[in-house]
Amino acid sequence: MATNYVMPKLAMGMNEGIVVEWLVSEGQQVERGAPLMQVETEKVAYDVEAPVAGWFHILVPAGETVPVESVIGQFAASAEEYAEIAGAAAPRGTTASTPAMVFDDKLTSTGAVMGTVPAAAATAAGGGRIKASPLARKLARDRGIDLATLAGTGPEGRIVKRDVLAAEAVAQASTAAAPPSATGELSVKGTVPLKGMRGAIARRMTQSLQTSAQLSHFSEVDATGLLKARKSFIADADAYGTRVSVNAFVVKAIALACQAVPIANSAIVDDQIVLWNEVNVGIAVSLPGQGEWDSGLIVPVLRNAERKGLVQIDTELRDLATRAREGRLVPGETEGGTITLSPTAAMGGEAMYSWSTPVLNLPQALIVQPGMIMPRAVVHKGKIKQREMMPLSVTFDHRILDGDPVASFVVRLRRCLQAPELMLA
Amino acid sequence: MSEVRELPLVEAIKEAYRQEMERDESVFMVGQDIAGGIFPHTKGLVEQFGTDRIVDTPLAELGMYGTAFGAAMEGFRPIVDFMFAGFFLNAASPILAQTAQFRFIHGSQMSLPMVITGACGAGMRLGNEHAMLVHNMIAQVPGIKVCMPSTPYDAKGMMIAAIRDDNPVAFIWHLGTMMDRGPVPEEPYVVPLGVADVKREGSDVTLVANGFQYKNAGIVADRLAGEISVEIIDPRSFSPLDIDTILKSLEKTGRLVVVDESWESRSTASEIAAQVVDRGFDLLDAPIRRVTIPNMPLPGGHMEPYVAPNPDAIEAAVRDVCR
Repeated sequence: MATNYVMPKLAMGMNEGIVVEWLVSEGQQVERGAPLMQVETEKVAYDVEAPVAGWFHILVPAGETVPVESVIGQFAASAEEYAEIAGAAAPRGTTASTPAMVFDDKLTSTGAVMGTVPAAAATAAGGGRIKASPLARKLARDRGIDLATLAGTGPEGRIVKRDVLAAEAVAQASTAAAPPSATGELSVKGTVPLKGMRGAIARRMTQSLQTSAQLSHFSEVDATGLLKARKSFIADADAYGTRVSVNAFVVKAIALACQAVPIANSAIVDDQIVLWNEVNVGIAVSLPGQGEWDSGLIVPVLRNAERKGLVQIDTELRDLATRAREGRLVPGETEGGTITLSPTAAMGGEAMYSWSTPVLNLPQALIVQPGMIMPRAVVHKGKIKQREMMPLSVTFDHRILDGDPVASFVVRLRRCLQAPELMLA
Repeated sequence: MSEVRELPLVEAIKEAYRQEMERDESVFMVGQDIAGGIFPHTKGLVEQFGTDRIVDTPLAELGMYGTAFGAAMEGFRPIVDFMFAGFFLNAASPILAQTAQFRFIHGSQMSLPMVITGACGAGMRLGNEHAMLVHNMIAQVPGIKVCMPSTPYDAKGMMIAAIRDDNPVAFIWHLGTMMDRGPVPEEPYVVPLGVADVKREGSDVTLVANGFQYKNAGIVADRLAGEISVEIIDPRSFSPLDIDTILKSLEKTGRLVVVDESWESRSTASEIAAQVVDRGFDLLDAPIRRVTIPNMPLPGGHMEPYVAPNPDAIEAAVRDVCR
């Protein structure tokens, strides 16, 4: 029978502790009294000894803050029992809430931490059960708010109505175009419930802007060569079975730029930056909304762009976008992205030369937004010429990347787009 | 039209007696000391209606109840007055086992239109037997309606409703409200039994209280004004219990405190809490708090105010659910 190990109460008034470091490894046989972990409280750090002997199974990764008395590990009485509990019990906190990335097997083999919830979503991961009033649960359910993302302000940390409403207000404040609370004098034309896709977008955008350090970089790409290259593909469209799009070129260029600057293709997972081998490009696809006034957005993922040619990329892009619009994406197709491409939508059919600051798709480090290609007067080889130009906006997480690697990434991206033959490399 | 006059609660009850006895000859009263009386709620009735209809009895609850019980079977509408409601227990068997369940047991062929009444309540330091509220003991039995007024207006309307009801009705009134004055229309009117009343609107917490405790609830609402907005609901009847009005209020407030001058266990407070959790679970933003008498006898002397629900205890409960 395995013995649960809980966060010890080391001092009066200690309510929670941080597992700074496990001093034993997963599955290790531990003697009673051996140093087990280092715990940090509000005031002081302690080395804590094992209260019993056994094979230790870690349930809470180092770095996490947990309330006292919540289970953080288990002592198995035998190696066999350890194998049993380690196999059966999924690490606590692995329930993938909305923003969690789910990696496929290939990715885990690269050494990534499997199924770990990004930091922002884990705030409520203090114990198994989330303490919330029935009303708070219902309100959160109705509004599509994940209780795990909320902090309770009620007695004993219970999530109560005001916490849900506050979270909703934050989401509204960051997404609503209308000025808040002027309804006294304004008449309501329509309402859009912050539920379902709208609610998810509101939450994730708010979370993105509130929990990461975003900086945007703007530049221009001379796409004259790209359009010429594309013409050749179009001419052979019948042979390829698709009219290769500009977006396909951009996806390929992103993959190559990521290979040149791997830190651009990364994420913060727990307390480290994890760089990925695969370049899985999420493509933002705009959708009709759930009601008359609403719009929607979904980001299916094109996997392994680094291994695919333009024609295959384009074929898959069209397939993903079509099925996204028809609501036929299968589970998993919106997960596992490592970087995002957010093509500029034709602004209501109006060609417009513009930049913007795309919002990061957490936990990814970078998002690329090409603008619409338009003829512009530019200085080309010492003369003012009409060239086909593309605005390029890139937002990156400054926690992960500094200016230099971003510059390298953008330079590589532009080189590939300005001289598409480089993508043959 | 002139302003509605104000009457003390006991005068409102007496007016109900008088008007109903004038309206319906089958209505009569039987009870202890009702021709003279230590309470003024029957004073003067014997002069108007005579000793045939104001039947004064010795201290023999079973006997006086038997008189009423038999008369009701013969088509009269008796009002039995125990003076102190707690002494209904001396006639508990015919009331609870027979009267209450009579209609059901007899396949709805016969009913017993009786009013069983008496005063009770903490605050006068009269000791446990005189003070204890018995509404929950009676309300536990199906077939008998149980109510208690909080205002003179309700007292008259509910007493008239009780007299006209074809079911047995226990009408209990609280000694602490006896001389409370309030507007009472002169003409006969009915306040329906089984219908709660939102006596004061608020938005933060629903406070259910009645009788003397309704006054304490008002004191607490005044104290907290500007800080916590208290909605006061007077259930008026314990059986049938109007849960819908409480649920409707909870849609707004999400928090519930129930004051019941009764022992905590198996009280109306417990019943309301149970039904709210059952039917309104999703409305609750905080645990339900009950403010009741602890499970011990009411002391007769100076400790009484500390044991019975009081404004401090109610305020503490309201603050607790509003944390």
